[in-house]
Amino acid sequence: MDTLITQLRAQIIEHLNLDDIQPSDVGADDPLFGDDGLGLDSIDALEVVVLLDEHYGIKVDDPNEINESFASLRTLAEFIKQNQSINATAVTE
Amino acid sequence: MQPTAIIADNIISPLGFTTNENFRQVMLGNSGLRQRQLFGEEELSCVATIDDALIDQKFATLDTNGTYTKLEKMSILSVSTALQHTNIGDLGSHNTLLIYCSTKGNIDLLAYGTTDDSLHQDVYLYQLARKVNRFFKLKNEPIVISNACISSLQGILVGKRIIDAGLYRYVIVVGGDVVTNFTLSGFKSFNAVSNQACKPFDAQRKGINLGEAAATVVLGPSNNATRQHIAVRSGSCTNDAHHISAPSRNGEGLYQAISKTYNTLKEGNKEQTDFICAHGTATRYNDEMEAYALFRSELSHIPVCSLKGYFGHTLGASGLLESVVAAHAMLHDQKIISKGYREQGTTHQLNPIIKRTCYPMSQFLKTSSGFGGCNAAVLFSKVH
Amino acid sequence: MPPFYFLKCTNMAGYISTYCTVSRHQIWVNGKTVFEEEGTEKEVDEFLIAAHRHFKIKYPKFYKMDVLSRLAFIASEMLLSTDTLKNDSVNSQTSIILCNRSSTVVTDVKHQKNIQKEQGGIPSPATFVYTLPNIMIGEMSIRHRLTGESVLFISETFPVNAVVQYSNFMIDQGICNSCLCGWVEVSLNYYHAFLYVVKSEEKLVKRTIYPHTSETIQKLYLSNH
Repeated sequence: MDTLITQLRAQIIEHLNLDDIQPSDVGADDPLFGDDGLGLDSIDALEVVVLLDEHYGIKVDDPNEINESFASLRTLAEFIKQNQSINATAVTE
Repeated sequence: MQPTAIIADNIISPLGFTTNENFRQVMLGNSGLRQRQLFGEEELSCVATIDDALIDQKFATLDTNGTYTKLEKMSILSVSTALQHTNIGDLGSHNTLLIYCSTKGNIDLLAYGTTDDSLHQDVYLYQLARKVNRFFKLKNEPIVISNACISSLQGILVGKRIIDAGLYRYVIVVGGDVVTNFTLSGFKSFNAVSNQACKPFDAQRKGINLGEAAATVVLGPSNNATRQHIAVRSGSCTNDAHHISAPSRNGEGLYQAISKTYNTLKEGNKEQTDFICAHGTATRYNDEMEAYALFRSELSHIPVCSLKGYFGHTLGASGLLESVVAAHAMLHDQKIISKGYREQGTTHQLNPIIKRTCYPMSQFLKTSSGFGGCNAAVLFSKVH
Repeated sequence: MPPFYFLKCTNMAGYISTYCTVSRHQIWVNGKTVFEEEGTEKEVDEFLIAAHRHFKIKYPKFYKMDVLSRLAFIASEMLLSTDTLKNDSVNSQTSIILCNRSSTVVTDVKHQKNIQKEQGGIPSPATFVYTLPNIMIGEMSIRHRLTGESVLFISETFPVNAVVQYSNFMIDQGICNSCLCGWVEVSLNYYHAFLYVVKSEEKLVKRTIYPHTSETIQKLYLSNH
């Protein structure tokens, strides 16, 4: 799980153009969205959906239905583990 | 000073090639939306598109030698038909200006090349506008407005101001956009597209349908009378300053645009508004925001309709096209059903029109909002 | 085709309070160089990021912007004091008129490539949203809380007369009492931004440099071009 979280952290920073954020700034349980956390917004949420498809082969039809899974790196990693398809390009263990 | 008025207009859409035909179809409750297989995709898309062959057939009746894209043909046809209903003298004289309004113009030409060498010149919006301008031998360089979905409603407002300032006598405002893989795929990436006919303000709404159209108004002095005119009374635009793609949660920008529109009226007031032709795109966020803004403006009780259920969302053309339809509804004293609406779907209750009624009307408000946080509102009335 | 012009000039309504040019990896404010980077082989994005760091702007959203919005952001940052964040009534009285030639062609190409990718490319919403040229106005508006009128004109060259006359008209009619105007252009191999603020006479704190006329704007636009 920790490897997946580390990988996910790097992918999110790169994919969302968070150039001024260091990996050490983002804890596994820190809130990703909203003013208290990393400050990601609605477009970032849609980009996370793209990331889940591109890197993990997971298709999300309606991001609004999985708000809780997007809360932190850890919840996102758990979501990936539960939903990852067999043909995913990134194998995580 | 006599008010600046719409002295002629035209709509080119899947519902017809004249304003009268479009209006007739809307009154009959017919929609231009169809399920179509587009851009090599298996999945069907619900869109309002115009048959290319039909455009070519109509365009062939105009005297022309050049090569034109679909949008250019639609735009030229639209202006040409509108001008038939005016008695403006020599267009080549210096007192007429063209304002072209579009979000992406000929963006589908990018499929032919994306490098500096291979980029098609007609991708540039000013080239598109110039081709239309040149067709009608207009002498002045056209203005091009590209301001997301408020483009052509703002075009009407800018045109009116230019005439009021005494800078030109006539302004031809055209709004046009086509359905492209570029825009459809982009809106899909936002989860903003419904694959069924859209339901503005409805509890079950799931997003927009794209549409394509070209629409024209000719603005000029209201004593240029070949029919009863529609005065462009006042208008305003604002920015939410909140987010580049999501509207402000309390509709602040649209509320301010509506307030300024009524506050700058020299005569008359908000209570005389007979109906509102809203933006009503059928996304969860837009409709919720718009309802809130109308509530804050104390206009919730005014009959409201969205025309997106008839034409789809025509992006750069939407403000102008919908204003023309609404204006003709006003001229005919006919309320237009807000197609797709069944059940209240916004926190603040609106008064969507669900039945065709005949009712004497003299004033309506048009609203638009768009990506980038822009909002516009314009008030139209019958010229007495 | 004659260059774009309005037939009659409206009365001069304002004064230019400040102006800025960003071009060829240099930034000038009111005619003086405030930042430059060596070597024009650097991509414009790198130059703009360097400027963002140099001026210690610390605005994380900057990194999500596309190149056009970044250019507009840096140019407007040179002109608009962060004091404007504190006064909503001032900010509702400021209009924005921006122009360019190429709309958002660089980002358009990026989105086009995304959708053309062989494996049924997944388009990026963050890329798509920047394929509207008015988004750069949205970004400036968010940063400086500018809630007034705004418009984006597309034109082959900077339509000086139109911008001067329309902004003067808006100030004259009381639609706004100041206007942020200019040209922000990024094409596939070129970029140039020229922005200025025009204010009505009453809003000037002190008499500034230039009256707001087409001749003056044309001269300032061409200097450092």
